[in-house]
Amino acid sequence: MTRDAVQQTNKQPEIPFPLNIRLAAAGWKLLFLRRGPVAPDPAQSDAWNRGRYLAEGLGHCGACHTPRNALGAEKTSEAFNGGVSEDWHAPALNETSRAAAPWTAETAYQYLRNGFDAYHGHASGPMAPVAENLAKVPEADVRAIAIYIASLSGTDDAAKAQRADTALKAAREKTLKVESLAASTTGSGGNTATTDGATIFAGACATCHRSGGQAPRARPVDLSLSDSVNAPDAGNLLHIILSGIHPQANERGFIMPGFSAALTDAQIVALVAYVRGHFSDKPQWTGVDTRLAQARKNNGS
Amino acid sequence: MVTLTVNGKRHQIDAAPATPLLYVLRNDLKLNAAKFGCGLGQCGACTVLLDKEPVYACLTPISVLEGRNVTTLEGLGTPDNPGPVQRAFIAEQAAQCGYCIPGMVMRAQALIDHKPRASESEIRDYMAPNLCRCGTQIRILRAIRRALSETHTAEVVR
Repeated sequence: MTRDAVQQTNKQPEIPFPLNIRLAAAGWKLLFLRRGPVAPDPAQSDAWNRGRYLAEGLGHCGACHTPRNALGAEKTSEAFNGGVSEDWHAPALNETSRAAAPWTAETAYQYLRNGFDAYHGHASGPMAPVAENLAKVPEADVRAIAIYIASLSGTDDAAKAQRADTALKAAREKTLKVESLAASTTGSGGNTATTDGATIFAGACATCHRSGGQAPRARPVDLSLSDSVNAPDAGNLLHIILSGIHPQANERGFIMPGFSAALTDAQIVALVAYVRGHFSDKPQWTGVDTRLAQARKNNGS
Repeated sequence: MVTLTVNGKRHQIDAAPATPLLYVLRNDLKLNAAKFGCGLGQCGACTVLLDKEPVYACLTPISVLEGRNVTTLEGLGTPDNPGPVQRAFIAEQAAQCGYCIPGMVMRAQALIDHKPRASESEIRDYMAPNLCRCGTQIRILRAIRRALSETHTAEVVR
């Protein structure tokens, strides 16, 4: 032996009551566990059925994207209505989706396979490792999942693709042009100079997030399309502003730097109000300062 | 007009509020240590300390700096009297072309301030945002380890 033995007291389990009672799991399963295979839907294609099998089974997409009841089970009546994962909002995937561009099988495939598609942006937060893993599985399986996911928000037909293209075009027009940027650098907007959201955007964000994002190797999404900007909750946008977007250690990927040290809370709140107001047609979030405190606590910044 | 506090000195800056701090440091204040690398927050050559935290000067508009303290490499020491981290980089000859080094020194300074007993993996994680393309990483890491251990020695002596 080259090391001396050490005295180490084992940690006591920290699972709270009543979760520490194993038998409780039997009751939970009795209430919520669905056993047996899911019968294929003969009205749908083989790929759709394969996609449903993967998404509902091994992929367990609903674990995040479906809200849960008081006992922690997925509410099957609200399947894919959107849920919560690690302080991130997991967007709705069904017809209640707020995505500015509706999901088509093609965009869903690009997003799931590459972690990015121009209609929706980057897979970030807890979704990032999902896309990283789906890059390594058979392509046909990812296509099948994409077909199933796209079908949740309405028939995946030419009209839907058209709506997605219209949204993309509108978003590109809304993205700041260099000329309008110059105007905003004079500091307007009714706030004091230090918390003017438009000025902060012009100085901190616009280098990449303008004119469709021409920055090499950054490839940002048009913010009007970003689910984080259109979401019912400011959390995802706050997490991205605080921590940025980074590839997993030793993996290739895109980088957005985080701004947790550069911007004060008041400045982030002002920036969020500007981004929501300029890029989304949804109403402003309320209580962003409280949500920011929670996001800072949860990502340790 | 924006008031900036850089290395303990106050400056009145006549520039648009969205102007990046890096441009003001280099063009107005003639503090040329922080470098323009990518301008996109991807390389770290422009790293300075803002209230002791490392930030990218290229993506920090001066409008957000009222009442806050900026520290640049010039604030850590002078050629005649370099600071502890600068001395460690000199002792290890931790520079090839040198372009990334001011940013490296600033992030290393923040590491020493926050985690004076950082492990090897903590050092590597913390320094990951700053890139060096000459391949000087091994010497840079050696310099940081030296600066950390000298900080400990100083603590013991004190």
